[in-house]
Amino acid sequence: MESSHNKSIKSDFKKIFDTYYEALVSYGGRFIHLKDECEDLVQDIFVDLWQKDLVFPDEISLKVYLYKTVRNKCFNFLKHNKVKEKYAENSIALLENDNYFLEHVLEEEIVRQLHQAIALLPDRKKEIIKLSLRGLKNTEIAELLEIKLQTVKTLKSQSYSILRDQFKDLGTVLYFLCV
Amino acid sequence: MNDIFHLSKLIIKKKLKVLTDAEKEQLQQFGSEFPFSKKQNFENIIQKVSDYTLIDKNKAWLAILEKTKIAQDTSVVVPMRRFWYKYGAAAAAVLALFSLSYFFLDKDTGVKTPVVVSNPIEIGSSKATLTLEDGSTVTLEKGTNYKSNTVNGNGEQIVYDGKVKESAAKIGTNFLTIPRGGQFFVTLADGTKVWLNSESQLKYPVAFLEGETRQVELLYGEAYFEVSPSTAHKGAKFKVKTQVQNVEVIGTEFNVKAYRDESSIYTTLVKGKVAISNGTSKEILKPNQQSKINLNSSGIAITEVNVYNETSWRKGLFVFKGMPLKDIAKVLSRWYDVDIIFADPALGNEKFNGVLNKNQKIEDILTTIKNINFINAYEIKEHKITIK
Repeated sequence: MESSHNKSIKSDFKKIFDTYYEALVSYGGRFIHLKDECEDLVQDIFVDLWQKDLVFPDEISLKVYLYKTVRNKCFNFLKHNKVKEKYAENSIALLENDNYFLEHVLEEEIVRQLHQAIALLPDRKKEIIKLSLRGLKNTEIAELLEIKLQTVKTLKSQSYSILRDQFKDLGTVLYFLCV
Repeated sequence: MNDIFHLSKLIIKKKLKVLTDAEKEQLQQFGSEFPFSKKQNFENIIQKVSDYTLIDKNKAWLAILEKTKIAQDTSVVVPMRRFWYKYGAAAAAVLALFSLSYFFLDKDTGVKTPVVVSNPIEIGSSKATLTLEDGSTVTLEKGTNYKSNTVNGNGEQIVYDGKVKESAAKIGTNFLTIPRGGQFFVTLADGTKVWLNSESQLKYPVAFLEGETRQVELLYGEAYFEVSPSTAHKGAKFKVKTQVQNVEVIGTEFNVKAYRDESSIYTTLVKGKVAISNGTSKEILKPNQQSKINLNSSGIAITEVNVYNETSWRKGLFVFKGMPLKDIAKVLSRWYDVDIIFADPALGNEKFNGVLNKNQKIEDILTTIKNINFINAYEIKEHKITIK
């Protein structure tokens, strides 16, 4: 049994990067407003992941590790890199709160999965679905994009059905994980 | 923490209006556990979705390559490693492969395969046997109907009519027996609703006397009671008797679990107030509390529990929180009418969190457990599953 728990992430390294890089940068960006620094910090986590050849029993453990590591790195960055700006204090306060951590990860995971799903749509549909998810009415979307109301309706319903298909089959096994 | 990831999917499904009833229930539960999850600002979320495109992913990947020199290593490392990281599509493909292989596997070929299935295991469904006053029995399952002057039943439930009887002598007793692989729902003469889980038996009078204590008996198994309040019955109390305990009720919802292959009786209170007694002690339960009475000792232990987890079975879900695999196996064996054996008993002690839909094949559940690499193989023969 033991050996089956120990699996390297190396074989899927690129996929892990593709799946989580933006989400981790976006999560870190909530605390570190310097974009380059934030990206560097997340890249270092991937380098570290590769070099240490870390092992995880499943995908969720990997995700937990990634978000927690970004959180720690952001905290250390703000504490030690002499970020003098006012925002550093607020950021540190946010980072120290476990509830905010869960809240931020929840939101980021919603963003990440929606981004992934929407990425599959053609550009026009992308625009329409984003406006619709923001809460805009069909007439408002038509006006904004300068297209016919009927076109909005058609493209919107097609886009929703593409998105729904991606989330519908969560599977009959909702989840099952080792404690 | 792990729940957060599942919750994120549910919130998206809610936004897309594709939640199933079971998921709606779950989402509500999560809402009380994580209050912040209820207020999602989609304007903000969509803004962030758009902001993702401002991140130069190619540049980042090149920077990482540079720092790790992966380009040189990859050709050596990749073929040596087993793939473990299952993405949705890959996992689905694996699942599809397994379900196909059930049809093609021959149990007599002697070929060692990780999954061996000799016959399909049926998913549990509504069924029960009703035993009448005169000892005769009626089988209730899909497509059957039964009607007498006191009761009306079909393949899923039976309902007793509410006529109040004048004297006790005329009131007969019925038994409702739920086999392994079954579940059933009964409305008693006083309007009390009872959901019965697999492998359970309930004894009850076909009518109740006005103003007198209403008593039923859970001979074995698990039942969820939604008791019609005493106030609607001239103050008549409601009592549930089991092997060693009595539950006295004032008007409430609760779950009683008294399986023959378990050494304790568990009573979980969802709403209202009940008194638990076992001859030597008596305890009052408050909502969200569970009492445990061990058959071999006299005490009553009370703990706080998540009532949703304890009672989700009647809503078509199995919810396990930190439950050892061997206990999960017990629950599954009742619903699928199978015996589950662990080749390595230590495996049974591994603890899991899980939410499983009851309306799926047991093979899908086993495959999931197999895919997360906690079991190496399983074998299904007749009604016996061996986990290796």
